[in-house]
Amino acid sequence: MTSPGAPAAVTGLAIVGGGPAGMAAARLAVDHGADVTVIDEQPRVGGQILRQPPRGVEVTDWLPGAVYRNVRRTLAEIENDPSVDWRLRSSAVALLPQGNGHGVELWLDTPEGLQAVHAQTVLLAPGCHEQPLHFPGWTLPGVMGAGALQSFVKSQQLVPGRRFVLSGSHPLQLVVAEQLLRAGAEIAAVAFTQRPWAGLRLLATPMVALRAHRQLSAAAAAMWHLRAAGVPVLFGHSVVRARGEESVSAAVVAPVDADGHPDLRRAREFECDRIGVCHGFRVSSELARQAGARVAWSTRRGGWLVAHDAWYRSSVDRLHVAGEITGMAGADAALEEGRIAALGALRQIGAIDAAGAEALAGPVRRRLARLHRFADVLTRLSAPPGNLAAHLADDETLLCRCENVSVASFDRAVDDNAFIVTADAAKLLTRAGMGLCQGRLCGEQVARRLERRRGLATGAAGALHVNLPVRPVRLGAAVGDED
Amino acid sequence: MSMRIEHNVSRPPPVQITVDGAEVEATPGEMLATALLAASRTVFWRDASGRARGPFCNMGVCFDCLVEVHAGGGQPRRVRACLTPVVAGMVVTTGAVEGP
Repeated sequence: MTSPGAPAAVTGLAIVGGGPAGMAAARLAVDHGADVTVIDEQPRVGGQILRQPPRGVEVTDWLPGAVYRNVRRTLAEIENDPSVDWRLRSSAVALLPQGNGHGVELWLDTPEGLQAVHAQTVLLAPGCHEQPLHFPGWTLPGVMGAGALQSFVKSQQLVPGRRFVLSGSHPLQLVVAEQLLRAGAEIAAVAFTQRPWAGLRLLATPMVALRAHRQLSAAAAAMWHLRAAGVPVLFGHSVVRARGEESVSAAVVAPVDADGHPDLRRAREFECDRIGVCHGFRVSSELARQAGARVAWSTRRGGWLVAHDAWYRSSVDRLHVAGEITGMAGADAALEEGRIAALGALRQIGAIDAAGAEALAGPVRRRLARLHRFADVLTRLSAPPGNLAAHLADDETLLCRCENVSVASFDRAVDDNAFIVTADAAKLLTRAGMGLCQGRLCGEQVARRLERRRGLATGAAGALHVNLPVRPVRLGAAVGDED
Repeated sequence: MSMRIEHNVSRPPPVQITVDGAEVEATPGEMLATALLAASRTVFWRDASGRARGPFCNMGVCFDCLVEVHAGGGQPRRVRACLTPVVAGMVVTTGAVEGP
């Protein structure tokens, strides 16, 4: 396959993702004289945690919380640095390692069409996305990820509805509910799948070690504020159905047991126009997988994590990784990982010697070790019941929302084709996972449902294969026929 | 129903865009998804079975906020409304009114 469009631009270090890891890495690399290119899909850098308002929209006292302090400092240190080659509103859609020390070619889908960048070395810091579980009504307009709701508030300064129900297993939904409430929304209820004794009680417990963890203390403060405002925070419950014709008009909430089985006799309805779902996150390791990097599955830490060494080098030459794709650990950890990965990349391109890199990495590694211990507590607290989606889905529930593959039609196809034992084969057979999101939302559930149907162990169905381009590209952009 | 936050927020003067033939006020630079939600439009398109669909992830992953934008006389483009900044005079067609 040939490169798209004009000859590739040349850079030293190409960083995919302008979130905490990418920003910290860019700062450090620029300070050591490297030519740095940063690629991000948003119009401004900051990543999902700092989804910024549009330029021209001024917000007084934007994101004042302690949880944002370190990442905001890094944002201020890099955003307006003109020595960085900023490639915003652009998606990296392919990585082509050239071999024999010849660097890596990246393909970018930009508003001006497809462009190529040739980098001496690449740092992947693409972060993560929400991992929704399917349930009856989950494709109805008005059902959104909790993080999606939060981004409307943070970045767009929009309360994206009137009355909200949040449901899931991740403490982030408390923070989102509180931000919505403060912005003027009504919160009908917040439902946690976990039983109160199963760990979330920790949020209300003033344990010094946990309080020190900014994400947990933010969630604890949010819960206190929500309860003071009279918002029901229900434990051992889940939204089991979204009701409505053209968009959400109510959420049906029922108790769920530890396996995720709902008790529908005790269900009740909450009138609302939005439902936020918050079952956790999956890392965006598609580019790394497309380039052939070694990955390993971790349900708890975010899915297909990219394997790396102590300098955050992946198994592919000149492909470094940092942030959530190495294991979900939050923004503060991502900053530190970005710094170590940048030092590794600088060593690679000869911008720093081994002793210099080691000296700078020491204190970063010590801070990081502490952050990783706290992150482990958070991920243990945040996991949804393993079979929640299987218990909630009815026959018509869409397993794959892009290709409209219902749970019943998927099961029928799998039952009629006993030789299908991998997620990839099930995708080719049913089209589940083949749509525009390319399996990012449903791929894991396709594998789980197949394994359940076949009596296979979790993970036995494998991962969906990743092809380039890793995101859909307009045909006009690919053939250079843009107007 | 969605509403723009006014407290502690200053925005540039609004611009007009056209959504399914109707004039809609929007803030330049805000995302098209924001402008549509603020104009009480939650249905962005319909799937092959005619089911209403709208934004889900608000970060470019789900492609459930696809709309058509006609800009500058060129061919209309299907874009993710959550990643497309509002520009004055944008002409937008949603799939909300199409039958199955």
